[in-house]
Amino acid sequence: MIVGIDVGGTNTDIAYLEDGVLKTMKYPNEYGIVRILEKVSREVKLEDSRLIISTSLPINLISSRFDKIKTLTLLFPGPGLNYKEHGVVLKGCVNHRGEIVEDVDENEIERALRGHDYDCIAIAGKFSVRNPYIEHKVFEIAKKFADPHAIALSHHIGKLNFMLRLNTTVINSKISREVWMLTESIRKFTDKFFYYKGDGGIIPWRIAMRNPSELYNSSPSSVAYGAYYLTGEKNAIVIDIGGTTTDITLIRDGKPMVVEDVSVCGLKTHIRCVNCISIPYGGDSLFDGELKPFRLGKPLAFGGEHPTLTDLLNVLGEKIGNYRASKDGIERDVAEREVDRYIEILAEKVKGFQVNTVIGTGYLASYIIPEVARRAGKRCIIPENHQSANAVGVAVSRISLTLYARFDTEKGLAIFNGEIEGEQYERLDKNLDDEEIVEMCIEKVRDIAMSYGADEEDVKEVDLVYFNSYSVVKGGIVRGKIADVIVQIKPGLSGAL
Amino acid sequence: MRTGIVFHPKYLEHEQSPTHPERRERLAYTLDQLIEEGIFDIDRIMMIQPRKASLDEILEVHEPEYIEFLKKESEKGGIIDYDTNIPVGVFETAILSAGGALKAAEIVADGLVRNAFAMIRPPGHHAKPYTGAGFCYLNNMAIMVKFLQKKGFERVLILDWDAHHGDGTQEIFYEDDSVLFISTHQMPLYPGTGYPDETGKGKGEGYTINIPLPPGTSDEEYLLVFDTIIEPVAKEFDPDFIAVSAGQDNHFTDPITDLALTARGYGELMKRAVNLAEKLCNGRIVAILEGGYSVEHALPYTNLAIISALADLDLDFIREPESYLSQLRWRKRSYAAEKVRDNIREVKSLHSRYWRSLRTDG
Repeated sequence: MIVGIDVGGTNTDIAYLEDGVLKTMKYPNEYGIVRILEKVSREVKLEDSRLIISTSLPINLISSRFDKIKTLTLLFPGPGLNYKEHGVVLKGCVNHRGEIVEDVDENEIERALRGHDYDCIAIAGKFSVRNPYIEHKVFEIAKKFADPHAIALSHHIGKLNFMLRLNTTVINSKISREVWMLTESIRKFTDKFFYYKGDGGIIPWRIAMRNPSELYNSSPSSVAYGAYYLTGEKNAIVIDIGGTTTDITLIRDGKPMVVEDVSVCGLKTHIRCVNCISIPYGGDSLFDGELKPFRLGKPLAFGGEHPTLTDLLNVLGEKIGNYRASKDGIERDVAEREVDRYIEILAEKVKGFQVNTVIGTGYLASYIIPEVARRAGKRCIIPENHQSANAVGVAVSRISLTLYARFDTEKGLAIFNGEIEGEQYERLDKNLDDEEIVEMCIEKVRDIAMSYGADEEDVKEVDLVYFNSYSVVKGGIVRGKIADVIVQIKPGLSGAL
Repeated sequence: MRTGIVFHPKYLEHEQSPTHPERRERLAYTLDQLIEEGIFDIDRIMMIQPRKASLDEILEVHEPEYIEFLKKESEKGGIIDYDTNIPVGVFETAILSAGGALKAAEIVADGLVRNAFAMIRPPGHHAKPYTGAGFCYLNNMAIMVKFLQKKGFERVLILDWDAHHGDGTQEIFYEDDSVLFISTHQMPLYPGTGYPDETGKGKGEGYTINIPLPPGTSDEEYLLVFDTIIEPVAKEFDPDFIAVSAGQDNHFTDPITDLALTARGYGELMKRAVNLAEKLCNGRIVAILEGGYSVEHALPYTNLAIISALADLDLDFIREPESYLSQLRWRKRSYAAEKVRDNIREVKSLHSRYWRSLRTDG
């Protein structure tokens, strides 16, 4: 059994999938993940299932409390640009070869940890992805001053670009503790579960804890993969009407487009997620004479206190929830005007795409999307289980890992970073050629994914995302070779379905 | 104000042989450093793709027979001199390298950026009209200057601070009074030219200024040369454009030279050159990479220094890691300061008849 859960802004959706049979459920978020998992565990044996969770916790935390959670940023940039504006600059430096060329001053670090007021700590060293020694050393000291789950280290992010890594680490520091608490509460049900990433892949929770920013904004991706799975349409515009927003995502060749280096709260980061146009209206958007781009609570039809877009649809004759509760004191022509305005906004956006098919998802899709598609001149599909397409997308995705590797055969060393449990060093034979290096990385990422239960089918195709190598020459003699490699099991539908 | 960096992955591919000092690794480490610093995410820095130099643009400087030879030999491999062989395909890389300099000049001339750094390989300043030499095939600098002059920037100041004398560039403009060529270089060292009494010929007399530097010359002396000769003469010449042959083999870790400049020193030199351009020609300055063979210990830091100075970034943290500094202590020579002062005096006395600005303090 596969269980996919998407905790959105308003509702939590669940998809159960076994032998091609799909069942979906929707609960309001106020139930809380523990109660929802209690319900799930009454339906299925969680220990024997594959449980995958997509959570909007990171995005919610960042959008509501970014400035309130105070981060102490400890930086080890060594020579180069001036990073003083971005944190406390301290002694200690790794160079481009991954050599420690300046050691840290432990007293200086302790002074910085004592002299500031903070909720969490971000630790970032230049070139730490090539040698995490300094970050580990600082972590050991910082643990004496703060909860280890509120300390984020930059090398787990895997990629070069110190500035972006530092920004991403600051975000990780702010969300780590809460993601850890969520993780702990899920672990009470099973220790073997996965998180769903913003780019649509799934990773074991242990790996996610090292770089929780990867869970940022995972909803558009889950909807896109869900819509693809439910319809089989490889090229389509997916419109997902949620409680607070309506998200439009384009799928091409069965995949949504991923954007790199996403900016979060004005900080450019290493975060990647699916590109989507978000419109600030959804089923719970407040109506007070006109539709407002925010939510005060549930629709009247679901026991709320204020009318919403959902209630307007009931005024126009739909029968959603307790529809009679919707109709108090709202003029039909006002409702018509506001619904029409909302549909027009969507139709205008959809017209801009070169694709002919619109897939509607979310619980209001069948009331709204056919008209949007008609106005935009596109074909419309509202698949079965469309209400919880997001959870379906979560359930059907494959384990996808990215491995960042650096080989330095002169030093006889390889370091593997990225979506693995802690960086790994490996001693090397000096005479690896380029092909052997790439092959070694592909094998490695396969092994890691399979050790976490990835289907053999899903790890067959590993992409070589980046490769660069050159000789190291000293004194006119070739001493070795340096190679940088990125390999990835791409996100996509699991072949095991 | 924006700074353009002209670069192409093909510049990493050129290699005479895997163990030649001028090899692909030169830019590989630098690129790592720039990527890790997030240089390309800075709003006022633009990464620009080079173009290829056209045959006409090359023939402004080089003789057709040489270009024909280079093109032909480059198909099967050949040799120019002991230091400079012709690997297969080098012609294509060489015209992309020259084109990188042209592109840098173009974007500054057109106002797309304020200034630019052409991070190109192979280098060019030893290449003469009729032959390549000293790791160089096409004289990127000269091709660029000729192009700029055609664009209407008549008076160009070339500042060549590569550790080796830019004999190719000097020869090309030796009789030209529209181009002021100023070179600082280690002496004695390859190619053996660049004595102060090489001052130009005919119309170009006084428009070549050579300031040889002894082994062990460090930041202070470089800046002294800048302040006492380069800056006053540049002001008097009043260029429309400044072009820098920004060789980086004067770093204290360079394996084939004996100078003692630091990364910070490069930054300060470049900053002075940028300030000059700001004062004299609306900020129009292009720096071109020439030599520089301390691939691990210098280039990542010196290239960053040059870019930081061009882009007006803070230079306070531009330096080498502390563990490299013992080499600086070995390299620096106390007698260098005095020798440089002597050389400055000699250059001033030779050139005071051409340049009023060199007369005042004797």
